Amino acid sequence: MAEAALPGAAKRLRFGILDDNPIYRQLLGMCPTLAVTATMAGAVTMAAATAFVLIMANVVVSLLRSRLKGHLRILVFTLTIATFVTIVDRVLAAYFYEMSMLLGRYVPLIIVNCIIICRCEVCASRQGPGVAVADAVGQALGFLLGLASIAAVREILATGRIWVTKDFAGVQVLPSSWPGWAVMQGPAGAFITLGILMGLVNWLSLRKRKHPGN
Amino acid sequence: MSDPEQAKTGFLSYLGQAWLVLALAVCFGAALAGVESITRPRIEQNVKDAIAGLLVEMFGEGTTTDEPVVIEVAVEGKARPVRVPCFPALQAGRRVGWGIQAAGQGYDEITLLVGVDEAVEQLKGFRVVKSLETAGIGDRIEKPAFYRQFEGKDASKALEPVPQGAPAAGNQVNTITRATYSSKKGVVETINKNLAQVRDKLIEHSRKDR
Repeated sequence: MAEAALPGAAKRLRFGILDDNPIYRQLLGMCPTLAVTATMAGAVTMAAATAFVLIMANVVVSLLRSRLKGHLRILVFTLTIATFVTIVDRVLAAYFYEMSMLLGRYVPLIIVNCIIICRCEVCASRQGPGVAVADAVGQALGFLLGLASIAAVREILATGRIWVTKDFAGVQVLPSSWPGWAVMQGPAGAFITLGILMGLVNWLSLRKRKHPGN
Repeated sequence: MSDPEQAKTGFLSYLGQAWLVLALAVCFGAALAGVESITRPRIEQNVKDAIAGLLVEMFGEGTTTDEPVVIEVAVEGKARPVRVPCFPALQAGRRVGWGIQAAGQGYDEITLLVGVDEAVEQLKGFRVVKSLETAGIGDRIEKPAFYRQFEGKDASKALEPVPQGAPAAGNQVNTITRATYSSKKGVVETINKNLAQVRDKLIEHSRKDR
C-alpha cells in the first residue's frame, strides 16, 4: 500500500490511546498486563520500559524500511527489539534496582511483547520515522493507560493505598479500616479486574456507537 | 541438474540479502558492549548494597560486608560445580558471621541470604534476595512473621518443617498454609541444602583465618 494512503501521525497517535488501545481493543501484551499490575509503581515502570523499546524499535525499523527484505524483516525486528530490551533491562538494574528486582523476568519478556512487533510490522516498516514515532507514542500511552487502570483497581482494593513501594507507604485512598482484598494481588485478581474493565470499555464503546451525541 | 553459475548467484544473493542483518548484529553488539561496560559497576554495587542491607537486618546496625568468599560445591546432575557466594558480616572490621547466598526453587527460582554466626553453629535468620513467588500467597515468606522463627536455630542440624499452627520445638519451623510449597521447598529445603553444602568449607575457612 502506498505510504500516502496510510493513516498520518495525528491519527496514529490518537488511535493508539483509545480506539486501538493495545490492551482493551487489541488484547495484546497480556503477559505484563496480568503479571505486573499488582502495584501502580510496577505497572508504570513496565509501561515506561515498553515505551522506550517501542519508540526506538519503530524509529530503527522505519529508517531501514526501504532496505528490509520481506523474508528477513521479522529477523530484523526481533534483533532490534532484543537490543533495546537488553539496554532497558541493564539500565533498570543499574539505576532502578528495586524496581528491576520487582519486575524480574518480565522486563526481558518485553522482547516477545506482541505490541512492539505488531507496530514494527503495521506502521514502522511502511511509514516514515515521524509517523512511526507518533504511532509508538500513541501505543505506549494506550499501554500505560491500560496497565495503570488495572493496577489502580488492584492496588487500591488490595491495600487501600496507591503507589506503595518498598520505601514509600503509598497514598491512602480508602479508609484505614479497609480490610484489604488479598485476592486482588494474585493472578485471580488480575483476571477479574481485566475482565470487568474490558467489559466496561466494551459497554461504553457500544453505548457511544448507539448514541453518538452522548 | 542445477546450473553452477545460477547456484553461485543464488548463494551470493543470499549473502547480499543478509548484509543488513549482519551489519545490525555488529552495531547492536557494539552498543550492548558499551551499555554493559557503563552499567556493570553500578549493578555490582547495587547487589553489594542490597546484600549489606540484609546483613544489617540480621546482624544489627553497623554491620558491613566485603568481597564474598566463593565456595564451589559439586551438585548431582550438573557437570560444573555450583558457586555459592558467602558474604562476610563485619562489625568494627571483625568478621562476626556469614551471609550465604543460597539459590533454591519454589514455584520459581528463589535466592535467599542465609545468615549464620562465625562458627556456623547458629542461624541468624534468612532474607529473600530475589523471588517471584505469587503475590499475596507465596510472597508471605518475605514477612517477618515467617522469617523471625528461623533466628537462633541450630545451623549444624537440618531444619524440620511442621504445618502452620503446630507446636514447633528445637529446629522445627512452621510452614505457611496455602504457601506450603514456597515456605517448605523454597525456603526450608533451600537453607538445609545450601548449609549442608558449604558448612564444612566455611568452618575450614574461618579456622585458616584465625
